[in-house]
Amino acid sequence: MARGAEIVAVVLLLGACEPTRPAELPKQATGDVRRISTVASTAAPAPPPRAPDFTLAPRDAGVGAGEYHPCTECHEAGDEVDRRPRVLEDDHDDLKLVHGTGKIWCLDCHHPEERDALLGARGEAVPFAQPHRACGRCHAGVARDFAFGVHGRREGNWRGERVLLSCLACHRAHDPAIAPRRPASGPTPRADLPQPVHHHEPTRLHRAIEGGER
Amino acid sequence: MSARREPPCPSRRVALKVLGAGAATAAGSLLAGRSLAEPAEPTESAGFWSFFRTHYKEMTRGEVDAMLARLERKYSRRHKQPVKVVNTPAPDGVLFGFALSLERCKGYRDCVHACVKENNLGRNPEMQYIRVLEIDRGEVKLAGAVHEYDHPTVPAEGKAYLPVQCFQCDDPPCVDACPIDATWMEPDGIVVVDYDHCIGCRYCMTACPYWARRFNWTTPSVPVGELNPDTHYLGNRPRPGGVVEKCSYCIQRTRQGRQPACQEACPTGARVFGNLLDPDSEIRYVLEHKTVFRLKEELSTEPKFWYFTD
Ligand code: HEC
Ligand code: HEC
Ligand code: HEC
Ligand code: HEC
Repeated sequence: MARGAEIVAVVLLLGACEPTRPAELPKQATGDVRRISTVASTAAPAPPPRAPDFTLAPRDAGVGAGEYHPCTECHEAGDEVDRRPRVLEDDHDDLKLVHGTGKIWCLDCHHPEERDALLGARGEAVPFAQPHRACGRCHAGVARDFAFGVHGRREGNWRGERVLLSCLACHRAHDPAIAPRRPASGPTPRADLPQPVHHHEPTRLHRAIEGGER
Repeated sequence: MSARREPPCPSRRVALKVLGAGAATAAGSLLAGRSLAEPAEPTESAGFWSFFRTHYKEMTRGEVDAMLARLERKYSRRHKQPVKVVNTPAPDGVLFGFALSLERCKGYRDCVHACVKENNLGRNPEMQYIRVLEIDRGEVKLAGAVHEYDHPTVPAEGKAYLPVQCFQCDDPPCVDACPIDATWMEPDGIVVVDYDHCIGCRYCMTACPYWARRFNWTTPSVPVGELNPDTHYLGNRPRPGGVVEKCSYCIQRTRQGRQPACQEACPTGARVFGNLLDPDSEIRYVLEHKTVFRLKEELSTEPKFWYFTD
């Protein structure tokens, strides 16, 4: 079959009629983006207003789960608390506090009197279900970003009621660093994408093209 | 620009479509080293109608509804499951934008695969709208970036990750390049393609400085039962072969208030999506309180996609 002839025919037909563009098709930029990006790059970060309200997405692990809940089963309100950092032997012996690499201790996060609660920024008791308020005691900047929805993740929608993932959906309380993991599979080679870069020895042709050897 | 409507040029349009199936893909097939004898799609009436169709944006409401119903019947038959095709219009007062945290992105590629599923991308071979580039930590340099990295675990030592996809430029060079207005920017800022109008000339691909558009060498095949049946005419509906495809910020989801699939799939929360015109939106918070940059800013294509660091 004369493939060449077919292609030529298309080219001729394309030339035979002026390209038309319906007048009402908006093509031009909205201008908003240029305006917004200028504001973005010049505005001194104004003190942010209060973050819009949000709730946390429910979590199956964590709060209320595990053998140590409720804490008040063993720790009664008014019990003496031992604030010295030490190796716990009688109970919690499986718990390794990696968080803060020795700079912080249990009672910087767990409320010393209200034993079924965490310690909030102003010393108030914070339920386990609201960990971001305890984290914010030391990570104020991250907690603010979180409340504004730019650290962590908003679930479901981009407008309307805001539901955020809990800090503890991504970070473990006692060892919060996120461990490396296996990436999902890579791209399949395709003719319309740049070809894989191979880091093997350059061939003679490569060197010739790059002007090294002849 | 004159307000007079140009008369349509039926000879060219019909010829392009008729030959388009043969010639435009013939050129492609030659490049791809594929045989032209590949069996063609069985002819369907929707294909026939699209020959004589007016431009999508000039169709009356009735014409659009009839077309959508036809497509639903056709896709449902072909994919052996009920498929919905809607054309939800752009919401008022909304301009969509994306921001991505370079500190949070770890190169897992979960977004890539969520996108493939959501958008019914062909699996023969798999097409992906998102490419995650691996770059050296420190400075953002695209030269030397690789997207086919395969480490046992990521992030790899000394590396950072930079996912790229269609940035929905506000001054999109791809739209200028299209000879037949098969691609345009919608009022909510999403650059769309009418896949029944596209003739597969691929000028737009050449014009895009971000390598964001993909050409469909064959009719995208999605295994039976894996099709996402909630589709939008300008988004993830099953595409014909021989056309150019691209990310539409998940138009089928985002126009209904939902987050795009890549945002939903990102386990690190690196992606922030929202309305650029809403001063209280997350995306505006990023633009106003973080260090942001865009790729190839000097080209003035005004991408609506920013990278940020804290
Ligand atoms: C089965 C009983 C038991 C339960 C339930 C329990 N603990 Fe304890 N906990 C202990 C004992 C015993 C110690 C003292 C360990 C030591 O000194 O070696 C302790 C010590 C602690 C300490 C160290 C500071 C201090 O007050 O001595 C903290 C903090 C603590 N527990 C928190 C919790 C929290 C939070 C919970 C609930 C999630 C909880 N515990 C549930 C038995 C328990
Ligand atoms: C950085 C703050 C922080 C520090 C420091 C901390 N915890 Fe916790 N701890 C938490 C939070 C938050 C939870 C709730 C975890 C969840 O819901 O997944 C928790 C949960 C617990 C639990 C119940 C869950 C479990 O793992 O069984 C126990 C018991 C506990 N902590 C004991 C301790 C002890 C003992 C120490 C000191 C060695 C300590 N914590 C130090 C924040 C902290
Ligand atoms: C009492 C103070 C304190 C509280 C409360 C606290 N942290 Fe921390 N956190 C620290 C310190 C100290 C470090 C270590 C910083 C460093 O080494 O520079 C840290 C580090 C981290 C890191 C970085 C870990 C790494 O190695 O990359 C994460 C993530 C983190 N915290 C999350 C949390 C979360 C989530 C909470 C709430 C459950 C929380 N923190 C509550 C003091 C705190
Ligand atoms: C959607 C997952 C996610 C949620 C939710 C989340 N984080 Fe993070 N966070 C991350 C990732 C990913 C990093 C980057 C970690 C790295 O670089 O290793 C990070 C980094 C951090 C760091 C260390 C780096 C920094 O920016 O200072 C802190 C502290 C931290 N997070 C605290 C929090 C607190 C507090 C909350 C809740 C208020 C929270 N995170 C919620 C994913 C999350």
